[in-house]
Amino acid sequence: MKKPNIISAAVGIAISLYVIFTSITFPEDHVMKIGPGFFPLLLAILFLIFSIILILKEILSKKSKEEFDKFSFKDPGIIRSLITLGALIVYIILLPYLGFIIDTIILLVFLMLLMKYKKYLIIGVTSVGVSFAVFFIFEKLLNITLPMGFIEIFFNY
Amino acid sequence: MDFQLFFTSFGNVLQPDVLLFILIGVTGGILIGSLPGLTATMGVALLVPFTFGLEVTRSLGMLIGIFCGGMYGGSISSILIRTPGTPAAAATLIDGYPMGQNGEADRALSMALFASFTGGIFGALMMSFLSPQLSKFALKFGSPEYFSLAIFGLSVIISISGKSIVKGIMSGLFGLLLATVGFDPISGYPRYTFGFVELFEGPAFIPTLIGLFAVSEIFLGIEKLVEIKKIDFKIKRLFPSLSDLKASWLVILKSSIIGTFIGAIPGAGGDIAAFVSYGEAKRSSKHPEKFGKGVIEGIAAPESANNACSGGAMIPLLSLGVPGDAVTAVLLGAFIIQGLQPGPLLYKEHLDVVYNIFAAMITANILMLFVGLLGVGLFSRIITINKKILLPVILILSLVGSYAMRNNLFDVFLTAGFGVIGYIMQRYGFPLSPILLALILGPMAESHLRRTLVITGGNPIIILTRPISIAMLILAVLSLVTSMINQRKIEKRLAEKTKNEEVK
Repeated sequence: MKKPNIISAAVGIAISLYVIFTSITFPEDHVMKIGPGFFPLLLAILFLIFSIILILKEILSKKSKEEFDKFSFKDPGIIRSLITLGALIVYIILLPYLGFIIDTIILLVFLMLLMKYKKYLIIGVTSVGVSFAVFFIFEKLLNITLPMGFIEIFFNY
Repeated sequence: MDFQLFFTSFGNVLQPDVLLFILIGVTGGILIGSLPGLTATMGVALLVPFTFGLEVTRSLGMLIGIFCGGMYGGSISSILIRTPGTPAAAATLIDGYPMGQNGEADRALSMALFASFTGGIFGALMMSFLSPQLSKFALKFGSPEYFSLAIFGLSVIISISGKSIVKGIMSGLFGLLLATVGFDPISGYPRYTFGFVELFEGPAFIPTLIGLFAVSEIFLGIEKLVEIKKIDFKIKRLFPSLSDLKASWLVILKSSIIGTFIGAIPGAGGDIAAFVSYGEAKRSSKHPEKFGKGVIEGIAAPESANNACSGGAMIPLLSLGVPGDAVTAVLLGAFIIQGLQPGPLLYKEHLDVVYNIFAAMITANILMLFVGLLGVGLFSRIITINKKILLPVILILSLVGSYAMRNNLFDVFLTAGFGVIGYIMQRYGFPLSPILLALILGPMAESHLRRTLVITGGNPIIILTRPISIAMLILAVLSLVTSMINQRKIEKRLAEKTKNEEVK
């Protein structure tokens, strides 16, 4: 179970190197001594140091103290999370077109079905109920406009 | 302190119409505070315009009610769904959520309420009695002191790192790097914005918070789908048990002091107060290894601190006209709408208004206690709703919450992105709280460091020579050292425990 820590540290190193190389291109400030690049550079160097420390700790320690859940693309749980992520992205993209209420109802139903919830009546009632409730609380009570989508045609006020 | 005036002001405040407004404020505050994405600041800001026509005591009473209620309300969602309803409750989830998951939601909620109430009263009393003195001290804070304060706050990251200090520091550094995104505060140079207008001011705070804490948790929940065991848990208590009170009274006292103090510093708010007192509670505890798994002090500390902070933040507002935190900055606007100018003149010309505010704040806290007690049962039930219904609904609320800030979809994408990042980080043992602290304190540290250099013409030595500044830095070093020693202690104790279990 050492690999995850090594991968995390490697990502850390990659990020630090990226920041280091881009921050030195930031303009220098001769008047105030510290320019916009100073802080990112300093932080990136520290980040690099600690990523390396993490790798060293992993390589040098015999027993791995941490237990991680396996990340396998075949695990149904992982597949569920990935599908959820996809559904989420689609939801956001469609939000201006379908409007909040319709898009939300679809997403709620989809997710509950994804988790194999069988009580279809409750799925229906909750998704419709919650969508409308949230819509009215935020729009009417708090004056926050949510995307309306094409239903706006019917609600011209 | 004019006691006669103090008591008269209670007479003014304890009128049915004023009480009604404070009650509305408190209830609304708790509700708004508990909804992730709506902060106490936002709640106050949304309602300030409506106070235009209201009489002074009613309007300020209501707004103060929202302030107090909001600081408690955030803990409800922290405990129940691991998402801070307001940033000030972010420290509460560290121990609050595990307690909730162990079927002890009512214990957690009742302590959160009690601690919030006690801290709030403490802060309100400090505000009433010590306004002028405390603000004189707070005014001594210049850029070097703010920089050192930020460093001190960042050192608290170590104490909340959980099992691995290295990973905690890495999370903190990652958060600090994230905080550099946007226009550089001094020179205006765009850093890592990749051309996105929406990133010009840095990653939007609330959407990032919601993504990291709420959405990541939803992904985890969908992946694992572990149902909470149907322990037949009734709401056994509205009030913390005697043993809980015994265990936490000292923590509450200390945290209230810390909270009031930090609140009095302009610009430092409930979120910083909560984390610093959580760190201190863990550091000085006899059983630091239990923090993070559901220990009652872990709720008592941040909740009393963030409510005490409200009282503290009013101090510089009233006596100097300088807001102590974001909410009081909005309250400043409310004062102006009423035709009042907070500051020394307020004490001279409208002393009755000042005293009415003292009474209103104390009353608001008492009302908050009542409303909270009534609600504990209701709130604890929410956690028993089937996860398959609860998770999607929370997801929707989170998305709406991030959208609500700036009315644009970029923030919602940002939330989704941070949801993924948070999900991955959690799976691989990286704590998320340091990122939150870093996002708040990083910009503070950088801008004040650079401002100090501007003032001194490039010589940073002033940070070490000014007394308050060096004191904060020494505290930072002490906090780092003791946390590391504590970590060793914790690891040793855990190792012994496993050895003992193996022997058995």
